[in-house]
Amino acid sequence: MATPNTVQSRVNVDLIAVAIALTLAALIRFNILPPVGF
Amino acid sequence: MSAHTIPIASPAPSPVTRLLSVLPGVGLLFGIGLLGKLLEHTFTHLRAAYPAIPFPHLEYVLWAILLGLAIGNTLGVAPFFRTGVATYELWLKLGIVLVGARFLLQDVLHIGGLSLALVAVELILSLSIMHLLGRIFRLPPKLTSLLAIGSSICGVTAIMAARGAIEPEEEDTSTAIAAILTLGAIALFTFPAIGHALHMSQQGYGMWAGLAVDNTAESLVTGSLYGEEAGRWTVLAKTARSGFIGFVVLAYAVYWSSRGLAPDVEHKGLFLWRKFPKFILGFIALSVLATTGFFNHTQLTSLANLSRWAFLPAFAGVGLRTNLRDLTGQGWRPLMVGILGEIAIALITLGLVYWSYGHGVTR
Repeated sequence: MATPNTVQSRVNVDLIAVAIALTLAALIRFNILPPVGF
Repeated sequence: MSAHTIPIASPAPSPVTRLLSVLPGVGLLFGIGLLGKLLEHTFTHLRAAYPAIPFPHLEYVLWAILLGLAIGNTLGVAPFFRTGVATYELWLKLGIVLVGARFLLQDVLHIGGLSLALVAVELILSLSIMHLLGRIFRLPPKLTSLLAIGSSICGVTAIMAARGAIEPEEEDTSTAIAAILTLGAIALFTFPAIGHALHMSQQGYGMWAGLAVDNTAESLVTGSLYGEEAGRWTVLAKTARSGFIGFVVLAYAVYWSSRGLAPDVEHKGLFLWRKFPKFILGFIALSVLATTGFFNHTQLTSLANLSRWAFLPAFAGVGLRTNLRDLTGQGWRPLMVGILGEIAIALITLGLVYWSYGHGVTR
């Protein structure tokens, strides 16, 4: 049953990416994280 | 099973164990990316200090890919690193979501509207061309379907999403994925050269890379190799294209099920939701927040820099998992269909971008 796992895994990666991005955005918005350079 | 074998249930690895198993590969991804940045920085200084010596003028994106390619195709990726290297997809999607903060919603609606129209034309043409070529070269019908889905939407993700819906042969899936990845690797080196030869604008080139290169990672890298601004537009075009994945896969699932060669699709709405790439929702959410003035200028700059940090390991991952032996390791007919189809699609989308963006130079 590779397919459901694959779909599930893709959904999880998508949702994890969204969760991390929104968390980082909130930390930056409320100045908990200092300005980030590159 | 032998009568003396005692089945022992192995416990699922704990979150800490899983995290530890990922760390070496993640370290390798960031290490390669940082080395790429260091090489760019070093050669910039050396060029300034010794102008007579022709030091390479390469950006960190290309350095990261070249280093990844060199390691992946000579030493190989040891099993110790593989779990972590596989996280490159997470970094890629994290970077794409964060890039959403750099698009105001009116830009997404305005440019995205044009992008959607271009994507719709690209989809119809890609599907038609691949089916025509599949017939000419007498490929198995399901392999043709996979190549058409992969080349019209978003590469490997689309092929994997279609696999469960149309139930192709296992080797058809592998062949289609290998063909799409091989063609993506070729695009990395040919597209920027074509863009420079035609003096394309960052926006025009970025849209072209987003429309023509199939796999999300290769598409982003192909865009970023031309310039950071181009990479941003590639993300927008590619994201618009990825939004169609559910509809195209559903159409193929219904077609093959009507012929009795795939399972029925009972809940079409649920099917569409399951196949929809959810990271697009995060991209739109950050774009909405940026549009409403939720972030100040400094915070937007920080988010942009965070997206660059997220893309850094993703670029290294593309290099590491690109197997140059795959260029010759597959059957010639699927590869020929892929090459001819991709050349046709690249030329057509180039024409579309030229027509839509004032010869690809201005907007």
